[in-house]
Amino acid sequence: MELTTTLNGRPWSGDVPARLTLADFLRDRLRLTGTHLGCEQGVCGACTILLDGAAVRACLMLAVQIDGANVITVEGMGEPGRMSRLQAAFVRRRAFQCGFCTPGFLASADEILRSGQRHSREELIQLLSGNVCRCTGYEPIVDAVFECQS
Amino acid sequence: MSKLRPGNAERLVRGHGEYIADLAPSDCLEVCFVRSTLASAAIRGMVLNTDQAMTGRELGLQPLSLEAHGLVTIPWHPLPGDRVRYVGEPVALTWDADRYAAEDLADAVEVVYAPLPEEAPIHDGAPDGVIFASSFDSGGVDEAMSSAHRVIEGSFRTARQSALPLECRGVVAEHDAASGVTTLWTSTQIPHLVRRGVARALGCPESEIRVLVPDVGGGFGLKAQLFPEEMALAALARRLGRPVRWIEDRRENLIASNHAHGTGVSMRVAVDAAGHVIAIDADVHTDVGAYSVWPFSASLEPATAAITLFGPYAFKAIRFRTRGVASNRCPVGAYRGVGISAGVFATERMMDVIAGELGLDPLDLRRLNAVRDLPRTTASRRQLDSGDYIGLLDRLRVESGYEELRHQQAQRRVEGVLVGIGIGFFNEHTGGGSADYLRRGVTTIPGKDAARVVVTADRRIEIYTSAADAGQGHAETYRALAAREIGVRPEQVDVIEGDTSLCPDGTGTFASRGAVGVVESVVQALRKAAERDLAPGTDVVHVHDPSQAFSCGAHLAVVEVDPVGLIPRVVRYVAIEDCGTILQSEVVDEQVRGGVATGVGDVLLEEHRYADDGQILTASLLDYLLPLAGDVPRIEIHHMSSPSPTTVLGSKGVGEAGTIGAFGAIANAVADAIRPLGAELSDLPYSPNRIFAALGRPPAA
Amino acid sequence: MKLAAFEYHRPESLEAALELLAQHGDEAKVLAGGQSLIPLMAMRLARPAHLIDLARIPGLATVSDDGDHFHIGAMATHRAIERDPRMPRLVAAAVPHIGHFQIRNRGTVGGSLSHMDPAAEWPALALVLDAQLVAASARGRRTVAASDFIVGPLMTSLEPDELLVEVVLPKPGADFGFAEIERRSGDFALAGAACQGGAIAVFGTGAKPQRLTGVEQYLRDSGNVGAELVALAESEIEATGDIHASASYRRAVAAALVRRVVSQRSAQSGASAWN
Repeated sequence: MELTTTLNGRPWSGDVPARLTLADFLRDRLRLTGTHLGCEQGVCGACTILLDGAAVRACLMLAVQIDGANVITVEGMGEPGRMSRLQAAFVRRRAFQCGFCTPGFLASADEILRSGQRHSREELIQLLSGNVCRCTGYEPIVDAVFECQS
Repeated sequence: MSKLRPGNAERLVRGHGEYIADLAPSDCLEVCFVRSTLASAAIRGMVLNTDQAMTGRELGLQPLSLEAHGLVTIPWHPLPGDRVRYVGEPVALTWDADRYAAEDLADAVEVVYAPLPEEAPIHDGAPDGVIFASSFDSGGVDEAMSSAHRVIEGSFRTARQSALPLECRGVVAEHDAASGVTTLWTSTQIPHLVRRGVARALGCPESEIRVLVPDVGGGFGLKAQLFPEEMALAALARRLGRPVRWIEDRRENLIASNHAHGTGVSMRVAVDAAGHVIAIDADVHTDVGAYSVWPFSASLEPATAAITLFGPYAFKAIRFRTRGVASNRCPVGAYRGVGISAGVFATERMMDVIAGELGLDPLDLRRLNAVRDLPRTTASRRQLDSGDYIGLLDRLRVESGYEELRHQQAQRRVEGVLVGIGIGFFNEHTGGGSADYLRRGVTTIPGKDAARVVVTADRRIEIYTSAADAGQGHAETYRALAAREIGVRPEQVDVIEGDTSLCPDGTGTFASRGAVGVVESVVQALRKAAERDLAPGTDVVHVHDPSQAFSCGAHLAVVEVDPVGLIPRVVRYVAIEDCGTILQSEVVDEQVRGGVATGVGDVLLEEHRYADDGQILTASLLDYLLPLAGDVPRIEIHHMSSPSPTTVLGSKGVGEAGTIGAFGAIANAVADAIRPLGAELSDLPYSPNRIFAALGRPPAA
Repeated sequence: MKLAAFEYHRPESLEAALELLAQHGDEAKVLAGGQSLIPLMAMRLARPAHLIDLARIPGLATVSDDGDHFHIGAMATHRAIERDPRMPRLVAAAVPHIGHFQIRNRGTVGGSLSHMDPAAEWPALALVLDAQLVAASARGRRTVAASDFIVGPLMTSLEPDELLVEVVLPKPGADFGFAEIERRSGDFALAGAACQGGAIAVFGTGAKPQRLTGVEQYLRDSGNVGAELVALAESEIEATGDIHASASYRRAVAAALVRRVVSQRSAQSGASAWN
């Protein structure tokens, strides 16, 4: 199938097999390996990316479904040589240990923060419940996102 | 591999980590394993239906076996050709240009299964299914039981679980015909042991196998075993002369990597009128699954659980019998805490039962029984090197505001709220050297840790160790050590772990040994390099054979149980931790916090279930439940420090302590919450379903 | 866990989609949000020879209001419904419980109803709101009452060549109640109850969501919200157990939730009497 899309600000056009998931397309075809696979069932959130600004599971989409859409992955966050404000907060707050869940959390948090709403810490905890972390116990992740709300 | 230069955090947060699934050598073939769909069957035949497939026999894999005192030696064929022993056991593999196509080929492989006779044991060498048994008797137990004020009984069982790092396993193998060396990238915690095991399975010298560890997305003990897939990929790379790659998916990870825990402890405890624990008589039983895991053996869970019973308490006599019984289920290996979790869970639940029976406050009872005047050798012959156990409990009382908590609990109970307070008091052996393993007859684990320090031409300090990082801050810790020991700036230090060609041989990373033996090796190697004035070209190695150093802790959890759905929620958690000398405080706190979160899952959520026919019912994360952000409260961490006399800096391990304490604190808090309703809980996890079964109905209906 | 091969179709009109369904029938699956279908296909539990992607069909996601009814296009996402201020309050209370927001960004109303997971919210909402479900095929359209549409676990009355295109909700009053017990935030319900006017349903309890007509009659007769109501609900609820919760748990907890939603409904200002 023909696919035309914009990825991290750059246009991309090509042919992809229909059954190739968006996650595998990003990782194997484009070598954007920052998006990780933790379950391939949409539960763990490690593969979360931004599709037209909405956080979605890349493992639950086919690559062909992003035709005409705008996709941002972790590689498209921040600028060359400069982390995004959220990424810097993650580093400062030590919001990751092994780093495997981090890109997924960044994408989910991006949508949360872009709404402009100021959530309470408890509300943020609920909103961040769609991403699994096995290392940190979540507290520094919530702190990093909370800090970026302003 | 894993050249952990400064700036690693930025690299990971920008998505530039290099985990095993990110490695894609050119010309690489993707592998898929054909796995048993039955729990127990003979294999009559296999029709591959493609040239791009091989069986274990065709790969030429040798069986491995293990020895340990009390262990029945049974051969372990990485890809068996004669029978299968658990759902998911690999029996063949296929390969193609990508995993989609390799799975298509695997679908087309026909395995002809036939039923085995009903009475056929899982292993011929163990007709009654018991593949591990041990016992210990300090003497004096029967006398203590017959003269006791009370003998109190209790039975508790941890759930069969998965360590479940977020990143699954994976292997990339490449063979160089010219040098004869097979390079294996694998997401592992034990690179040197993997090399050893793979070499044995291939029947080649260790020098022909090089193991490299990429970035690892969590290990938690799962990745501290040798797996059939590692041996198979190495053999396949040699056969095909092309790089091959296998990336585990979550279903494989849940059904066919390693499981853990699943240990039952039945106890009789003799107490005197004041509440002193005098003697313990215990049976420890683990369903160890289909095989004895390599390198630990099936002794791991049951033996560790038994030896840690009543660990921080001054009992006079103990007798225990352990059994590791085989089943047609995934083999049981390591998961943060291993058998210590079961030992502490059973002990701490028992202490609360005793407190209830005798009408004593649980914290007072623990203080009464805590070991004093360390160092001390216990009745179970554990050499407790240091620790202020009374101090821990007193600090817990103060930091938690214990009296106020009990007062509030009483008030809220009047209002009908189900709220419980639970304590988890424990000590924990960390590290462990060759003597500890040889005493158990385990020859596959060397027990030594090693570090190598190199000063480069441009005066950078390179630290190589036998450990393997999976996110727990090794590089940061060693850089801080280097700064303190030899006065270099942390940015001048590179840390290299996970390359068996460059890193000195050792045990790997498990049993929280990093802060014990590995740190010792690093410090001594740095000092040796300093003796040579850090001259460029300096290249020194230090090998260390550590003794166990005992960390300890006292945790408290407050749990509320919703009166309709019976969902237990941890609303407050206080951890008093003693890991001796603290090397890097943020790293220590992170391990405690992450460890407690693991404990929340272990006590309240995580459980593998099998149907009667051996089909696993928890093959997805919709069914195997992990703790999410809303399940883990803010954890209040306070430190005490009893430096270990057995380590150069006095440090002790802390990677598992958070989990171990939670097995006591959270479990006791849930039990305490429903105690006024006359209900009792024993087997984990303490899920709403189990709470309901204990109560009979939701109290607020 | 990679999908088996299939032929992919992306029709640009409803007619084209229906034509494909007529042609391929039970060898085809329809792709709406994919949040339930893709994981099944990844595990190779579903291996359709044909996949019909509805994304390009215009007008299927529209949500409109004809005065007496809401017309919700099958491709309306849960997220769009969540953000639509016109939606009935029961819907607004229930939809945030559907998975996590990342799932709601893609998952659709029509997808949820066509998939018919017994622990899902939309089938129960459809029951108590007296939804009419519009199924289209190359043979024409037909409207099915929710109670007829819901057949069993993962089973609806849709024929192999039919597509759910619209959910029609009569505009309800303000008297509603909703409660759900989930083990973790975003999980499928261990038990749930929904109430709208005089209609009460439980979900997550058994093979399909269930209207409790006996309880409804009891309330019309007596209006009592007490232990007797709970006991009656328990005796009426058909429950099955699984590894997460036994039948007894689901029955008992759902019955307690029935009392909760009935109390909520009665506490709404302007709530009508039960009869």
